[in-house]
Amino acid sequence: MWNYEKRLQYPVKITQTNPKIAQIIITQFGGPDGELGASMRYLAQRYTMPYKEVTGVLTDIGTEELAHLEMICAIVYQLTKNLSPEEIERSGFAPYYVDHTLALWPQAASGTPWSATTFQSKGDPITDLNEDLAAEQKARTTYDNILRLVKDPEVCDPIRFLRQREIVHYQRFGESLRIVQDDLDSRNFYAFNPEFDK
Amino acid sequence: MNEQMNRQMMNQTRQMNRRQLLNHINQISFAVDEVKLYLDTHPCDNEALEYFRKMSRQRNLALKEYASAYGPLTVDTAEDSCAERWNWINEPWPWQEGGC
Ligand SMILES: [Fe+2]
Repeated sequence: MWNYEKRLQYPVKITQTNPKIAQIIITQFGGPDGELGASMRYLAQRYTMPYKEVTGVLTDIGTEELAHLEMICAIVYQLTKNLSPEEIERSGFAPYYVDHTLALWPQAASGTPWSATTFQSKGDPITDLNEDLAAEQKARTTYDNILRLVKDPEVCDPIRFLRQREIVHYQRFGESLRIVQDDLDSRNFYAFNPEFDK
Repeated sequence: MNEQMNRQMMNQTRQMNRRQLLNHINQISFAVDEVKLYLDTHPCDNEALEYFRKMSRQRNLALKEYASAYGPLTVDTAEDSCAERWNWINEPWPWQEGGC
């Protein structure tokens, strides 16, 4: 079960609205490499994971990604707060606005709705951990791309924090993969699937 | 020993204003999150374990302190809040102005 903590993992204080940038950053809420998909991926994979260290990593990173999702939503919310109809029209925010007004909805920057088809839960620890390693790098690249487009330091600061977390998560998943491989037959890691074959 | 350290930390946090105490909670909580994740893959690292204990203790004290001065950030510290009313909903939410 989960308990809510009434604070952001890292503070978000944006004083200048910018709906153009909000439409880009929202991709880390509901896009293919966003925080919602990241959290669902790890939390889904953990039930059949036979290594206690890796179950811990999946649970704790899956939980942290929820905190990242909240930071992204706070950024988008603050970037689009109190917009006037004129600003909405001028900034190209109208297509989002017509469907969601100023509310948060998980979509990619392209407008594609969030989908569970952006991740796998395959039931094989080597397969899943390789997916998780790739996912962290894809998220890191997305944050790099965002940082090339954003100039406002109040926005860059929390985005940089999120980018760094992807690198730490990548490190922990790398150690997880090593733990799994150390346990398997070093001459053939694929001799059997420890999540299925007993 | 622990008692004395606790009292020292309490005195430190008591001198902070709201913003400073919140920053302190954010920083110390980050330390807890980070070392917790590290311990998942290094469960026998004694130095990390000691660091976890220290940070976790400080975090719990700071959360209690914050709850009694400004309102609870967690349900477990809600009873430390001395208010008559249900402060959980009265204090701003983290994404709002004045929030955490
Ligand atoms: Fe991550």
